[in-house]
Amino acid sequence: MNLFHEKSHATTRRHFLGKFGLGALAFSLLDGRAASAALSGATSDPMAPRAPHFVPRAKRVIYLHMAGSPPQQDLFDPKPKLTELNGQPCPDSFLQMERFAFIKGHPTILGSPYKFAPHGQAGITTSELLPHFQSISDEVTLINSMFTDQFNHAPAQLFLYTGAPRPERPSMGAWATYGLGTDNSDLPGFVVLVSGGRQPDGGKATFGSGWLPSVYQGVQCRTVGDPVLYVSDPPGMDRAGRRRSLDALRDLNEKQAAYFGDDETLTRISQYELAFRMQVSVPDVMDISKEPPEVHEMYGTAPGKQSLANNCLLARRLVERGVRFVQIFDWGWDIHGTGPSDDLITHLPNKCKEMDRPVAALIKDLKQRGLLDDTLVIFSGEFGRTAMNEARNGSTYLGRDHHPHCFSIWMAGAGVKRGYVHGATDELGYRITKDPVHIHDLQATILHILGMDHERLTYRFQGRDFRLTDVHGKVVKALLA
Amino acid sequence: MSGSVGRVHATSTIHALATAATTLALASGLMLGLGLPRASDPPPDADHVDFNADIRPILSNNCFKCHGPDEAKAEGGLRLDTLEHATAPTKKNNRAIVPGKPGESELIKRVSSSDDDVRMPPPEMHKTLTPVEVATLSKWIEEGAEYKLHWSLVPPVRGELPAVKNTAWCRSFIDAHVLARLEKEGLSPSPEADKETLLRRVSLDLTGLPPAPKEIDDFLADTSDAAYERVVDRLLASNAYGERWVRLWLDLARFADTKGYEKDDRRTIWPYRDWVIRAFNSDMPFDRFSVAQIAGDLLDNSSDDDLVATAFHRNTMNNDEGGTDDEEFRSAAIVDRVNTTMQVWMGVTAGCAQCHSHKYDPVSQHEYYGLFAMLDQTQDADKPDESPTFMVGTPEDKAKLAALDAALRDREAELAASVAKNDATDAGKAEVDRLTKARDAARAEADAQRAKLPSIPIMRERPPDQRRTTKIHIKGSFLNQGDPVEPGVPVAYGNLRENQPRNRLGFARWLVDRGNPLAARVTVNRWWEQFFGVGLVETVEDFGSQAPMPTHPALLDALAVEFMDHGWSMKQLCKAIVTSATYRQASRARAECMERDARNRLLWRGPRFRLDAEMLRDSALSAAGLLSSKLYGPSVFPRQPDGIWAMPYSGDSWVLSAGEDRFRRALYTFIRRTAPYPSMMTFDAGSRESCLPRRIRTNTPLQALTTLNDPVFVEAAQGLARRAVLEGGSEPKSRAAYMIRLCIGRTPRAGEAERLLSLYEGELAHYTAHSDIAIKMATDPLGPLPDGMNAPELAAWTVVANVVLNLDETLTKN
Amino acid sequence: MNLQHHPLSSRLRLISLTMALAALATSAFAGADTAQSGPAWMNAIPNWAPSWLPRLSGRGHVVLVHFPIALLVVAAACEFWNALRRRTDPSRSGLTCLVLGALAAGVSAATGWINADLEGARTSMAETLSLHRWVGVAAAGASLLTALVIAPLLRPGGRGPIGAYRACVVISAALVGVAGHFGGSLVHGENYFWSVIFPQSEAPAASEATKPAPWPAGMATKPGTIDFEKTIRPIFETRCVECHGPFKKKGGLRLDLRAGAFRDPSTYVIVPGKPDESDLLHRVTLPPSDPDFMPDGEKPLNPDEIAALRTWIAEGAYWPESLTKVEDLDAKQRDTELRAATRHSFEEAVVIDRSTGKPVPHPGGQAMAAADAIRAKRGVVVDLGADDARLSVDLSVIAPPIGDADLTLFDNLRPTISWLNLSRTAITDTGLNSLKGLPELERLRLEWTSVGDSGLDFAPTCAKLSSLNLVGTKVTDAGLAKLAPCKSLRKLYVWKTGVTPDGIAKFRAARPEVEVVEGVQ
Repeated sequence: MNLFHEKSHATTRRHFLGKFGLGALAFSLLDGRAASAALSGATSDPMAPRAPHFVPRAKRVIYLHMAGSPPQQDLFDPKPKLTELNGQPCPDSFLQMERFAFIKGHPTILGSPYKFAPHGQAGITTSELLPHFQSISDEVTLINSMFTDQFNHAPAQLFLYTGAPRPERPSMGAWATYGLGTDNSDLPGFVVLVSGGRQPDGGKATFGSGWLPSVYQGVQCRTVGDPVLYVSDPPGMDRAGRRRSLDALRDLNEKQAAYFGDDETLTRISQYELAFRMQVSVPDVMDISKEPPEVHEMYGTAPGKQSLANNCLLARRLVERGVRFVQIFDWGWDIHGTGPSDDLITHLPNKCKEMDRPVAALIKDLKQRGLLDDTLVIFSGEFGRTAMNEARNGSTYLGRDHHPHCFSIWMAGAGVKRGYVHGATDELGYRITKDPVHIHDLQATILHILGMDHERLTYRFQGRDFRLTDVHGKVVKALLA
Repeated sequence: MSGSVGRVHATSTIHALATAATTLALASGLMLGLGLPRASDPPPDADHVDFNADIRPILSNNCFKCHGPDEAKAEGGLRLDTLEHATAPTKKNNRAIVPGKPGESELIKRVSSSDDDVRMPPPEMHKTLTPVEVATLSKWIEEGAEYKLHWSLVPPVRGELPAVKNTAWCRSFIDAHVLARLEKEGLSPSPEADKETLLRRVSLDLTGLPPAPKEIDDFLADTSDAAYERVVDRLLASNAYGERWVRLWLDLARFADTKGYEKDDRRTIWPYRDWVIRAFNSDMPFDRFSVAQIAGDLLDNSSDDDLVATAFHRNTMNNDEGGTDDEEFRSAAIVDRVNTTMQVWMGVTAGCAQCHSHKYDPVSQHEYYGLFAMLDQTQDADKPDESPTFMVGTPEDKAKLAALDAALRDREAELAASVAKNDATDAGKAEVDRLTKARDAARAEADAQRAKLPSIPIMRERPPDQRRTTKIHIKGSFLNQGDPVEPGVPVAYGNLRENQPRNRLGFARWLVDRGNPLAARVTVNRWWEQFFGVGLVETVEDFGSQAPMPTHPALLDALAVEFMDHGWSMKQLCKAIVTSATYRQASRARAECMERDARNRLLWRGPRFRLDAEMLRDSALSAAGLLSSKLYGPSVFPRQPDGIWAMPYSGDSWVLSAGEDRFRRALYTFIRRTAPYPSMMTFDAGSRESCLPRRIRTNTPLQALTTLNDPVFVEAAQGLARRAVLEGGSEPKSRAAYMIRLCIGRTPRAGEAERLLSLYEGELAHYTAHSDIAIKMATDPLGPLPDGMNAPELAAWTVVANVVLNLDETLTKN
Repeated sequence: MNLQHHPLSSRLRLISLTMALAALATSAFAGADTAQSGPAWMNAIPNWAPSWLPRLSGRGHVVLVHFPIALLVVAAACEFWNALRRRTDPSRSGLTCLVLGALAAGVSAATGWINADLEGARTSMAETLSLHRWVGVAAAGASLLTALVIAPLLRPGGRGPIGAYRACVVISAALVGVAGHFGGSLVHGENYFWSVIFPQSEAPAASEATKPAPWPAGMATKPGTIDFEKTIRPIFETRCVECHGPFKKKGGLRLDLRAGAFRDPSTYVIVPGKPDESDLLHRVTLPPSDPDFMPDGEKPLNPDEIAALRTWIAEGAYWPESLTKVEDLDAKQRDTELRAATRHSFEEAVVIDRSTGKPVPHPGGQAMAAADAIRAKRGVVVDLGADDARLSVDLSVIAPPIGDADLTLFDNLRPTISWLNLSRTAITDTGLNSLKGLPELERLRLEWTSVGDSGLDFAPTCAKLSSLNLVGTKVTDAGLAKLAPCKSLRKLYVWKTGVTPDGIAKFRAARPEVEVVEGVQ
């Protein structure tokens, strides 16, 4: 914001304010974040790239969220003791002072029906359900000691993404774009991709802007219908026609800008031009049909379908073009065992098949393209699952209830260690025994990797400077490369 | 010697002795020191440091977080929010502020130190006072460190009208205040806007719709002095007035058609929305309006409408997700109600006191839970059936339902008797069958009648023998409860009156008591923001110590007093504002003023800003002649892209409304909290999950895509094109001019119609050559061509209409 | 008077003597060390002593000092009373107080010395500290001398040096008092004592920081194009004041005060109007290896900062009075500043970085222009971090793709470009020549361009190049070989190039520390 010091540029700052009509909130944006860097942000665009607080480790994030939360005992955190005690009543201590979403009475221990083995040079032990993950396990930092405060889906997802269990606050991607802007002005800075047929349980607030200006909310790109809402011209209008009409619009708006002298009008003209470019660039980046066959083979993609595989490939295409934050939600991981559609034996392997190949392909593809150098990839659910069989209403299917006290996530790419396992749980995988990582710590660490101090990335709302990490959170230094 | 040790500080005594000064000299020195005139006389008023304007923001921003009203925090035993606390010796025996003596004041030493161990605020706060801030504090202490009550805690009074030079310009007290400030800054107001601009502005502000061509003609023809006032009165009297202003209130009331959280099932609560529209249209006094919503059920002889009004606080979210603790979410709802109430009426961000005493404003945690206790006695408890509910309907409808229910009971009794009496003979079976059919028919009839009578969640007090004991939630956690708390209010804003009950009713009356310093101010400021784009206090949501000073404090107070003196009439308030010369100014920028005040905070020109999401849609449909004028009723489902409503655990789907319901005003659009209507979200509307005191206006490419390509706006363009062909004369140029008139309410300026015309001619050629796409452009999705119109022509006009609907002036209140 | 006649047991005498000697020895040892490199006595602390001991005993000084002050003053008062009564014997209680007071003074001096070494940097009043230190040592010395040397000489009945004894007692008391006063000033601020009587002389006016400084010869009396407060002061504050400020004052120079910067005209630190004669500018432009280079041991000032300093000096080095006092500002300036600082004003004049509280510095005009030109094409120029002026430049997002000619865009940014993304652009081998010698270039992305082997000549000239992405380029083994001399190189991406497994094997053999990434199976 340094330009504003110079007399010759004395109006630039006002220009900014006038243009965006953000009023005092724009000031807080300037003062809170962008006013610090020497060559940064001398522009009138709230999405303009801005310098982070310090040299970042990653410039971009891909967050893979398995909505519903996969069971850590069956994928990442082997517990032979559970298998040993399978079918026996769980220890009484598991039930004291506990609230469960669905478990009633005294449940029995549920051992994992899946085999585990160490893989790769680092020897990270993972489940047979994840054959492809084994080939990338040397690239990841696996955290077995995550914990959260929330044990229902919507609040836990909101807590993970906004730092609060109820919808109101900005999401992680909104904070990232608020702090850093976006590099490619022809694309949204924060893109959301959804598969599994459903929105996340926490709704749009999991990728909303909260009380941040709405420019920072996640833009949902769809693989069916318009990739971005209303990006297609109306039926009967072609690109040349749109160009002609925008030319007329620009001419008339310029007259009106001259008449009223309102910078907001000039901004509007430029936003129409940007919209015109997005009409080309968004469908272009979203069109995976031009990818070569070996890429489709690698990811298991099928153009025109809504799938996690397609979304993984899209995520790579988006970060390749400078999108700041790609948020992926895949619905269907809520393994309660109430029926065949959420059973540990019949359902979980299917979900793993859908997920394992494309996610591993994404990491490999980012790596061979050199993109893993400045992209952070995170894979998580919103909480863990119990060591006990839920057996809701006497169900004979197998499944696990919600469990906030420990779960596993992994990260890969810029800024984090490779082939490293952080934290540990007890022999029944019920509680953390080593290096617990709280949701706020994870948030602080992600922001840190992006070059931002989670205590300094603030936004003034209703008289208070809010943060993603509320008043908590520590950067987990041990995860950093 | 020992005597002086007792009186004076031990260390200073030693220093005194050590320098061999006598006790006598010391004593006389002290006395002399007190009696001596101050080194510098107080500067003239203009240079006087004002606590509220200059000092409080510095302290509040930098110090109060740890040394503020939160007595539990008070780091180092120091509080800086009152003179008494700030001048008391701290644990380290320093005095933060020694009035008159900045050099002795620890505060100045600390904030100006360059030593990280000593400096305040400490390094981890990442805040450092600027030299100017230090100097200002220093000067304030030198001037005696006068603390003043925060301005917002002093009830407003109507001050003297300020003297102005250009008295001819002023139409009302508003103008005198505005002009006085402008003249002080050496600025002048703008001339009055032309009649067409003014009519569109006031029509949008009061009804949310652009003026119809006939209304423009009438206004232009009426050259009398009272013409404008007549227009204002007409607009205020129209039903559209309530439909426009309800939007503001529904944002505050977090009104939505679903319950929120994960399941987000539907909720029937639209009769509350209709109640608010009626309240606005009947100009219900704001105090009455307020009491009804918070405690309508507790009023003597409360009417059905009073009960419906209490749904205000039943707009809180309800969590039906499996495995949730109802008490947790009941508690969350009460927290929301406390925060929303304080937000809406007091402009106080009370939510901060949920976990600890407020860091900036005088609301202790104890007082917060006093408010919580006020609202804690209602029957609702996050139950899926949303009980208690109230059936809305006319007495006749209800009587009919009662009769049908009675009939149903009779049929059921007959059936039961028959089952008991008859054996398994054929005759017996036939008898039971007959009676079963009769019972089913009666049930169907009763259910059909019941469906006409929506039951909505309302507030009901628990019986006296079931009162809850409210306890402080330690750190805001409902699982960790502390001492019990009695119902009460934060006393800094005034006490409950003696004769008022300590319940919701007492609370509601306290909010709109004349002695309450905030309700009227906060309300007039909210309304002001609607007209001018920015409030007199910019943070309409926060009047506390973290808020900026009002730009025109005396005007804010005068408006607040006027508002109360006119019986809290919202229409009178609107009228006072829109008839002022300030409001009627042209909104063109003037270079000399832009230089000084680009954001127009001093009001040297009329307001100019983008329309709200709802107004944008309504204006487009209105210009296109498509807008339905149907009032009230269940929410509707206009066009929305597929896939927005794919939510977990919900089979609910968006089914497009039929007929005119597709073109109802935006406020009737069904709002699902977890998947709100996308085009409105793009234009900064909220998801209604919690109270939204202010919409931040943005300007993004997604907005451009919406107004260019959203089928709703394409439909509007097709409608506008047809209307221009039908009503706009036979000449293409007059049709183009007519479009501008419909959308911007004025005649074209030089070159505008010509530019549209050249676009039209190009498009006409294009669509004549490509008639296959012409028909799509002209009819998809609005419907088949009207008789006698040809597709290429209409397609070309649709493209032109699409441009006109996207003009900056169309999207903007000018 | 013989000591034996006094009710001091011999054991007490022994203890006090030992303590006194220990205290003296400590003072002497401590006093012997005046080296700047830190207290040498720290080395003498035995290993078994807990690490907090010195600091704790140092802080004990603050408690201990009150004993000698009280005791010696009482001793003096007793002798004064005896003298008034014309008694020739020393006061018994006075003597007791003297002995105890002298011992306490010795210990106080020793602990005080420790304290000053360990925590002296916390005070900005270095001169007061120095006075306090030496007067305190003098007081301890005088009282110990009186108690241990003069007092034993006294004999009953007024024989012995009773006059000298009394004088010494009073002098000791006076010295300890004066030392105490300076100590009080250190704790409570300058003029803590006198301000009670003379309130008009109170701080901050009297403090060094706001003393009206003389207007240095030749200094401009009006601001030039460079705004001192917004541009120059931040440079001094962030880069110089740590050593040339209130604490260290290296070379007697302070760059936080006008008076400190221009104190001695003979030093030519800043010669108004003559940048080339100004030692300051000379030193900051030296190579970092030069012993005279400033900031010593730090990274050099960036070119924009140097340019700003040069212009500022050339224009007369206008250095306004400190803004600490509101009265110093002229009315309009004050009004503006006040508004900016305290009100959400409609007229913001100063951009204050909230994280530092300081105005945001301004980079050079040419760099700004270059950055703006890139942004005008919708490319990205952004500081690597707010605390790091190196740049991240991304030209890959520009549509249509830029070509070789466009690389001139960043000419004026060359010194600070660190991360550069040219992927998917239309640049060729020719264009890569313009990357030659980029001093800070660390990460370079060239993937999916038509770059080939001949373009890679630039690489060894970029000393800091550590990551190079050549995915999808025409580079072959020959090009790979050119990269072997890139000393800083750690990551190399060669998927989808003409590079062969053989070539990679050779490269890995030559540069095993470089991670060469091919296609991943």
